[in-house]
Amino acid sequence: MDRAEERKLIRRAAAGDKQAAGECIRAYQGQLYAYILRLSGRPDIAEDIVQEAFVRVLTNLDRFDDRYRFSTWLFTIARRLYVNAMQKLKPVYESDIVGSWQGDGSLPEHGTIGAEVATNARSELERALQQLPPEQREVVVLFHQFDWPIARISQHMEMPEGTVKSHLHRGRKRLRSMLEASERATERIGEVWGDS
Amino acid sequence: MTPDRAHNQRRDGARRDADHAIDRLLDGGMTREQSQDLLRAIRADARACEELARTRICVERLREPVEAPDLTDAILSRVHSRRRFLPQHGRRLVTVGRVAAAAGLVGAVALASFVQRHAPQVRLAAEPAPVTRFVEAAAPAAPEQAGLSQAVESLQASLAAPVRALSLSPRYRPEGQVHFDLSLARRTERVTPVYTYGMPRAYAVGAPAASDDRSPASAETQFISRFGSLLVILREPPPAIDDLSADE
Repeated sequence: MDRAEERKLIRRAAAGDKQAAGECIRAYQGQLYAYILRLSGRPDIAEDIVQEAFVRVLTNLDRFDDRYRFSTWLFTIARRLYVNAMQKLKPVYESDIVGSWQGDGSLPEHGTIGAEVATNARSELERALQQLPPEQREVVVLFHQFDWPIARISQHMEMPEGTVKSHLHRGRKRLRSMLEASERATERIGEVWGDS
Repeated sequence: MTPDRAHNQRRDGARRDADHAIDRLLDGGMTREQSQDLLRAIRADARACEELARTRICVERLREPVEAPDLTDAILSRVHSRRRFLPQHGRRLVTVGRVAAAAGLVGAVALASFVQRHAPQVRLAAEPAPVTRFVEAAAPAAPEQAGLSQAVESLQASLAAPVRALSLSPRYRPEGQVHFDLSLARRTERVTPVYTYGMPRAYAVGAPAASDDRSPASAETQFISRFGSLLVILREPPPAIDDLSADE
C-alpha cells in the first residue's frame, strides 16, 4: 500500500468508516502478528498484542500524524505492549527459554526420537530465534524479515545505528551457527533412526 | 614469531576481513560493483563462500510467510465498543456539518471585513479604552466626589487637632462601604472607644457604639448615600500604663 492510499484509508477510518478500518487491519495484521510471534515465540501472546495494538491505534486515529508511516506507529505501540507483557510474564519466558530444548509444548515433555525427526525447519528457526538475546532477535527480524532499513530500526528501537548493526551482525552469526548445529543434530538423529 | 604463527595470524586477519565484507554485503551497504568484487575475491576462499551461502539461506528462511489468524472481526468489534463506527449517511452529515461551520466562520469574517471597509464608523467589537476615557467617564461622578470631600471636611472639623491634620483617604471595601482609617499620634477624648483594650484600639466617631460590641461595623456613620455607609475607625497607639490605671 502506498503512502497516499494509506493516508486516504486512515482518514476514512478516522471519520468512522468501518470498512476502511477493516482494510487497515487486513493490510497490517499479518506483518504485525509475524513480528510479535518472532519476538515472543508464543502465538497466544502475538494474537493478544496484535488485537490490543489495533484497538489502541484505531480508537486514537485522530492523533495520528500522517507525516509518519502508519506501520511505524502501529509497530511502536505493539512493541511497547510486547515489552510490558514480557515484564509481566518474565518468569514464564525465562522458563520457556531454559526448557526450549525439551519441547515446544506441542510435543511430549521428553520428546521422542521420532518427534525430533519430525520437527520441521520452521520450528527450528523459531527455536533458534528464541535463543537469541531480545535485541539481536528483534533487529534480525526487522531487517531480514520486514526489510526495514537500519535507520528505521534505529529509530524504532531507540538505539544508535552502530549498535543496531552490531546486534544485526552478532545475531545473524549466532542464528546461523545455531541452525547449523540443529541441522547437524537432526542429520545424526536421522542417520541413527535410519540405521535402526 | 614462528612461521606457523605468522601464517595463522594472516589467516585470521583475512577471515575477519572476509567476515566484515560479508556483513556489509548482507547489510545492503555495498554497490553492485562492490558486491561483485567481493564475490570474486572470496571465490577462492571455500570457508567464506560457505559462510556467505549458509547465512543467506538462514536469513532467507526468515522471509517465509507466517500463518496469521484473521483478527479483523474481533478487533473491529472491540473498536466499535469504544468508538462507534458511523454509517455512510452519518459520516456525510458530519462532513456537511463541518463544511457548514467552516463556511459560516469564513462568511462572518468576510462580512466583518466588508463592514469595516464600507462603514468604518460601525464598531463591531468593544475597542480598548485609553486612560483618558476613564477620566471622561468619571466626570459625571464629580458631584458625588465633591459631596464626599465636604463630608470629609466636616468630619475633620469635628475632630480634635491631631486628627484634623491627617489627610483622610477613603478605602473602599468590597461590599461598597467607604472606610476611613486614621492613626492617631496620641489618645483623644473626642472618640468613643469600641474596644475596651486590645491591639489596636478602635474608636468610632459620630455614632457611639455599645460598649459590649467589639465589631467596628457597629460604628458606621451614614455620611454619603452615593457610597453607602461611611465607616470611620480611628486607631491610636495602646494607652500608656498611667492611662490604663486611670480607666480602672
